[in-house]
Amino acid sequence: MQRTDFHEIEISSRRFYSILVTLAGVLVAAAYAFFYMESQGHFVTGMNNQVVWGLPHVVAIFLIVTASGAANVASLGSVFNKPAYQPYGRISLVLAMSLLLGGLLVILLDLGHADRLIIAMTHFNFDSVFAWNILLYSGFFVIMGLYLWSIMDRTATAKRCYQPLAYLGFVWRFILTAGTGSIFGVLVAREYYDILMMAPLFIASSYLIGTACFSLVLLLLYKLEGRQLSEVIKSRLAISLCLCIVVVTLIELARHLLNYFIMGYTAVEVFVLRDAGAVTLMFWLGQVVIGLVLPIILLYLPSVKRSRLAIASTLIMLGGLCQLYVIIIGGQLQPLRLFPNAVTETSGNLDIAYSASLPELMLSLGGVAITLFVFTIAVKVLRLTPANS
Amino acid sequence: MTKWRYLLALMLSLLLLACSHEQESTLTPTLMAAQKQFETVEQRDLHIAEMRTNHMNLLKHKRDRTVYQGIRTPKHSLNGCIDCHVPVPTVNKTVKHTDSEHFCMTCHVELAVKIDCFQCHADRPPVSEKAVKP
Amino acid sequence: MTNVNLIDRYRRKFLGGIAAATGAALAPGILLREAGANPHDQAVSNKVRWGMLIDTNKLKDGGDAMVAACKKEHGWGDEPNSKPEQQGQWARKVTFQDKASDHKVSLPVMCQHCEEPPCVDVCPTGASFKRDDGIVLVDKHICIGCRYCMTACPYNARSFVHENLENQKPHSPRGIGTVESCNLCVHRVDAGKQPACVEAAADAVIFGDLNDPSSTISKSLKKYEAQQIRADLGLNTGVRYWGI
Ligand code: SF4
Repeated sequence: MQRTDFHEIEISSRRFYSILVTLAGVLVAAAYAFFYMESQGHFVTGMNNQVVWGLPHVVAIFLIVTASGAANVASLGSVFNKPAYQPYGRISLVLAMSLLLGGLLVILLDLGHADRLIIAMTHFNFDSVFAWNILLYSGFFVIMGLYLWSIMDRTATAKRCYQPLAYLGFVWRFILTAGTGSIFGVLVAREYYDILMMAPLFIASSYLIGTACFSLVLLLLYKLEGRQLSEVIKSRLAISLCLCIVVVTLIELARHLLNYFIMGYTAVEVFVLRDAGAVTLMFWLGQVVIGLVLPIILLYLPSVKRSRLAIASTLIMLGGLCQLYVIIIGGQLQPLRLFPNAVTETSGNLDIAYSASLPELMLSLGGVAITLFVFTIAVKVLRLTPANS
Repeated sequence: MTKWRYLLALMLSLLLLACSHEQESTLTPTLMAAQKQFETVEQRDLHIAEMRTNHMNLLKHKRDRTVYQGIRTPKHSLNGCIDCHVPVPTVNKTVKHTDSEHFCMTCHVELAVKIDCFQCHADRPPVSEKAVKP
Repeated sequence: MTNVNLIDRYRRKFLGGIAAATGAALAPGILLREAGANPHDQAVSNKVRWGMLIDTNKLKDGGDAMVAACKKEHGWGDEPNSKPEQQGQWARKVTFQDKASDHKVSLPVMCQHCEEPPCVDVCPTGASFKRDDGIVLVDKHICIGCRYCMTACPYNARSFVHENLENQKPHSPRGIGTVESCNLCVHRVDAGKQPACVEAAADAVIFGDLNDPSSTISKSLKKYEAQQIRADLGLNTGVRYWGI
């Protein structure tokens, strides 16, 4: 096998710092938004007693799911022994960790009591999927960190740990994504979330969005350095994207058909797919057209070779964001029915609507910015980028 | 080498500064007088001594017994503290926990220890039904 | 060294001794409480399960008075900055029309105090919990405000405090960034009284111990067929209704 050398990315300091400063600007705005929400309370957001999770949660879960998928390239290289992917394992892992960090921060900072973070660490209810996820996320950092070390270190110990860690990381990612899907799956009262399909859907989507995110970042990185990414890896990424699109489409299709015809959740399906206004639009236009149909056409059409991977990846990520919006917000917008046999049902202050406010948007962008910030520094100071492939 | 010496000197002086502040803080700020008074000075001093060092533990212990076991005896009840240490609001004046003259806040502001008790708990005694009508 | 500090030290030792002594005496003394007459100083026990039976036929106003009494007792629902859908709402009036009979029914809906509460299962810190006597509560000291419990509740019974509050009722602490819901007037129950809403609709509601077969509520539950809302979820609620 050909030996790969790695280097810190070669970009001018000016460029590097201007990227950091731009991101820092977003971070400052996000910090301001956080303190504003924290001191005023959540009335400054669009979230309410019916739609309790809003845009920050959509973005946070998007980042977390993407994180798990972004590490897939590393797994492909080690667990599935695909040498073509091996040079990119390091970037893949660091990207995954940065994404998870961004996602977690947004979730934590949106808590009603972000100052009680320590309580979330010291009081555990082991029945709670949320509590498991706290463990899964913390574990992800540790395992991915060790995995990265085993790749980068040249000692014999590291070499010995490499395979086991690779497998552990692979399994852990699997559980983590399934766990994230189960956050919604276990909600018995919400028909839109059915445990059977939520976990596989999240796993498949995570592969798709994660690979898309990785491709985009890799392309950007090479562009920054003024190099060309090899066609081999490009076409491999394109093929995995196509595969993932097919799988996600099948699972989504199965989920909706199952909900509608077998589980009898017709009301909620009709609501989300037809009557939910912006959410419905986001499903058909965002998730289906932009996120699944356009990218697969783009990836298959040979005539638009130039930057098709970049465009397709961007579209896929947009589609993934829409998908999570539809799942998280759409699922909450459907009113809970206390009396399924009733014609009409009215009750107190239960107007259900949601639109994100500026502070929420800033906080969410902050999560993306911190991801990029950490990642940029990492590729600048660590030898992550393959020098000759 | 000189660099380190400067650093050491700086740290030492900071330490001294911190210690001197420590000494100062044994002078307690003047607190608002309680509504009820003890019969003897000894009783009062004991109460002060106990509460000054231990009120947080007593309150926390009691809080868990109240929330989880429903034990609502007056002893170490936060409402009990408030009823005695904070004046009943009148038409002209209400002492709130955001005011530094509030019994709890006087020290907590001085020592810069943030508490979130009053995000949820009443920071003043209830006004009796009759008195509320002007 | 000031005088006070000396006393401090003495006091600490002295207290330690007392604590040890009383601790030993208290441990075996977990007394069981008679339903109805509850001294303040005894721990609640799982021999009792509090419940409520609401007769919707006898409720003239569909529960308005009950909701109002709750509001007055706990002081929720007039948060100045929150939008209507962000206001505290521990209880609300629900009206529905049955498909088959066209019959219109109104009833108050609040926390149903499930035996298997979904909110308790999902809470990451254990802040949502069920007291030994069946009352479902939020320990606001350890609630981190993640709102997971709100999405898990099938009854929409919970609300989140969206802003800083002031001048709360001393017996009903509630505050920013935490989740709240009907607590079955736990402060009144502990004092041997009935919840405020029950008092407000005394002839339509029975409150009592579901575990005690001889209590009025148990007998009535057996005699008439009382329903649970969303019985299909199998949560075995502590709040039951007639006529829905
Ligand atoms: S909001 Fe509070 S009570 Fe509800 S699940 Fe989260 S921590 Fe538990």
